[in-house]
Amino acid sequence: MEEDRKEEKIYLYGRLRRVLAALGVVLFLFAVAALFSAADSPAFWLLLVLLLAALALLAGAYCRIWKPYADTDRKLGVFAVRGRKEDLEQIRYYLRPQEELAVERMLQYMTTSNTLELSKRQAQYQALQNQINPHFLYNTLESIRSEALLAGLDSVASMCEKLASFFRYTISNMENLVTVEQEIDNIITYFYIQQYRFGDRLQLEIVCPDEDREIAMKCLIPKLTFQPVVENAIIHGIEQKIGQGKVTIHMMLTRKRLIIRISDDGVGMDQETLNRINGQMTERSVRGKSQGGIAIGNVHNRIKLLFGEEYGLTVFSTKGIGTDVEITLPRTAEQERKEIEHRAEEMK
Amino acid sequence: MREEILRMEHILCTEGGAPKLNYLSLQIFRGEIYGILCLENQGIDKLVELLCWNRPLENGQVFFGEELVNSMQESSGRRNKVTVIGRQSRLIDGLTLADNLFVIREGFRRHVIPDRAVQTETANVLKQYGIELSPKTRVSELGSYHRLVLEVLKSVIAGDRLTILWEISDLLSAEELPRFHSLIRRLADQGSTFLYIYSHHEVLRPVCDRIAIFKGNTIEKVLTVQSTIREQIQTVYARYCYEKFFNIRKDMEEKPRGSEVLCLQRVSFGNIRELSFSITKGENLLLFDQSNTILDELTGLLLGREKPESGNIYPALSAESRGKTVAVIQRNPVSSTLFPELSYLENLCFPLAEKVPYFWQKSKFRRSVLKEYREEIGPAIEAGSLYGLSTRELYTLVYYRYLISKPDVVVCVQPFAELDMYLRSYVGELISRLHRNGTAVLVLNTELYDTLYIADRLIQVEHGRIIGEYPRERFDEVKLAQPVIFPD
Repeated sequence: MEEDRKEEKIYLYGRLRRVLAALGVVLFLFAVAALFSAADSPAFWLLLVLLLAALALLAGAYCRIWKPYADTDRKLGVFAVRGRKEDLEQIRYYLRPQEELAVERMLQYMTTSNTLELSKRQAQYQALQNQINPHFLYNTLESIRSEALLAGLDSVASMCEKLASFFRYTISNMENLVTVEQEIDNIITYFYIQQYRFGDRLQLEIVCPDEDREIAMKCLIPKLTFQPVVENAIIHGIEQKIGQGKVTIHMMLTRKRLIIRISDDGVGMDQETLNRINGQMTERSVRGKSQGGIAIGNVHNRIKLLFGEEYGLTVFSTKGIGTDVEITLPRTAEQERKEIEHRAEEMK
Repeated sequence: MREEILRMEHILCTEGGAPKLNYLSLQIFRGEIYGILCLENQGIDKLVELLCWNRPLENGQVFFGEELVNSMQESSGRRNKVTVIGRQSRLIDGLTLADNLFVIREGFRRHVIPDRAVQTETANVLKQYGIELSPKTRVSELGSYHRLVLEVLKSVIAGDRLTILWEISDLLSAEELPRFHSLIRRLADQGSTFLYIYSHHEVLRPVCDRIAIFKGNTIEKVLTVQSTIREQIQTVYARYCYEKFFNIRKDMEEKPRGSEVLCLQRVSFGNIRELSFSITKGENLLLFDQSNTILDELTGLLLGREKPESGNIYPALSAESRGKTVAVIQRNPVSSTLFPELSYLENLCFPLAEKVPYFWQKSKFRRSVLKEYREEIGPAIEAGSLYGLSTRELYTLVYYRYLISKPDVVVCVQPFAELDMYLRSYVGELISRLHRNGTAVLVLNTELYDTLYIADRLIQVEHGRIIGEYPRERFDEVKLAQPVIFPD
């Protein structure tokens, strides 16, 4: 049955073109023959006028019907390749109202699908947050900390404090935007926790030119931009390596951008993996979950959703040398927070 | 705060289904000399094209001065304010320096040229950068170094946002290159921005602020130039290439000196001053023209096209003896010595046909060559034409011609010119193969990157005269004494 259905797909456009072309040739030959046969009769001039009128009609049909529809045809072709809503939205000419309705319905489905996906993600995130009751968690950690202090285990107490601080930042307070300084503080906390596991093997360095530091620290960025990248650097880079590993966060400002490069000297990745990751960055997808945390693909997508197509992540890596993740963001200040958050709400 | 001049993000371009640029990203700041080290050359021409013109992209965005100029959604097709300085000069030979610098440029709209003002302005610019030339000098009288300098100054004066230096280093001698680098460093410190594309790290390392590794049609990593960069490149990025070169050197055994196959005795011609050297059977001699003054003239003599003004060459060379006793492989031989309309086998057999009588009339000779070399050369040997073959296959053809015809001496003129790092090591292997076959190889070069690995003996020439001769055992000693001239 399915094979039968497949055979039924016929492209009428080709047939239409052939038929019209054949008809045009036949009519033209008929007209010319008629003209020649009526050369000496009074009907000659009438036939000539009719022929010229037919040609004018054809020219008009070409400009007013054929060319506009060719434009629509091209845009549908572009949509078929790229699959982007914007390509459908640009279509202006339709053969019949039913075509327009069909395109509108398609746009609706696409919008709904994206929204559903985003909503689902948001719901997953909130469900996760609700499962982990923050107050219960902080209270428990505080109890552990107290017990540790009483037992003279200062290191355990310190670890609990840092963990509480980390969770407080990560799962509470659902703001979209935080300052770079807040993200850096969170990374320092995260590193402190990780160093309990890795010890001296793991080092962190934060580099920023002095003249840029003050402004850079106040720039607004999406929450949890750095942490997934740093986590990947540790798990996939440094953990796999024998010996010490270093993560460097380098920040720099240009006239319009904040550029953050997170580098590690871990094991790096091969070219195939690098190409796959950079290829995935170009797909606007909310899928792509890694085993822990929010994947860097998600970070990339959030940056694009909040700030636009000009910004995002790029990954450079060489096996055996390390990986650099470059994050570009606009230089946003506090006063622009409301505008960006409003835009984020509209996206939902 | 740094000023961004160029940003390319996730650029994807394909041609015939194969990627030319594979999600390439790069960023260059004002006043920076950004190097691109080509481990592989495929895709570089497309990158340069996209920098100059806003051609359609399949993915990605291009920003100049933080303004979007090209993207997947919209490509204007307009030209960007970028200058490319490469092998093809954009200067007008018949005009003067002043005219080329100030008159022949975009935006010059005057109908009456203020000659005196232009001359004065040119003189000031030349004086500022320590160039001792008159503004009235015609461009046709200039050497490679001054031409390149003029093109760079022209780009800076025109206010171009980015100047691309594309494979220009082998146009300069070992003495001229540091001077050129010093000039572009000075211009960069004054705010000009350069993209320096070359296929050897020793050219880029002394002058670039950052070096991007270009491989697999993309930029794999961007390295900040520091003390460990040479080791990183040799042991990781170009490891495959250096392992090959080290193996070549390891396999070069000490041989007793064979009979002399070529001898020049006190030869003078043009810039060549009383040059005397000889090469024996199975020897690989490297002649290093430090000042880049004699290569063309020496090649002419060895091709038999020119006769020396004084001195002697043994055996006597003529156009008829060419290919039989002395074969010359010119720089970039794939574009100048092959016949793309003929088959691979026909191209392969050309030098052999000059030695074997009635070669073309008897097909058994060609069948014999095909049978013997099919396994070594691969399926390309059966190609009906050279179109569609890779650069590697074409270089195999060029060198195998002489592996088969076995001339007494093969002269290789700048054998690594315009090759990426992978092809350099492959051509090094081919030269080593000639050498192991018992053919004497004379390599003429203006730089020493990698060529020392394949040499038995080195002759150092400056301004047409021999200033040093070193056997292989003394190469390390010479490198230490003159590190600028003798890298890695």
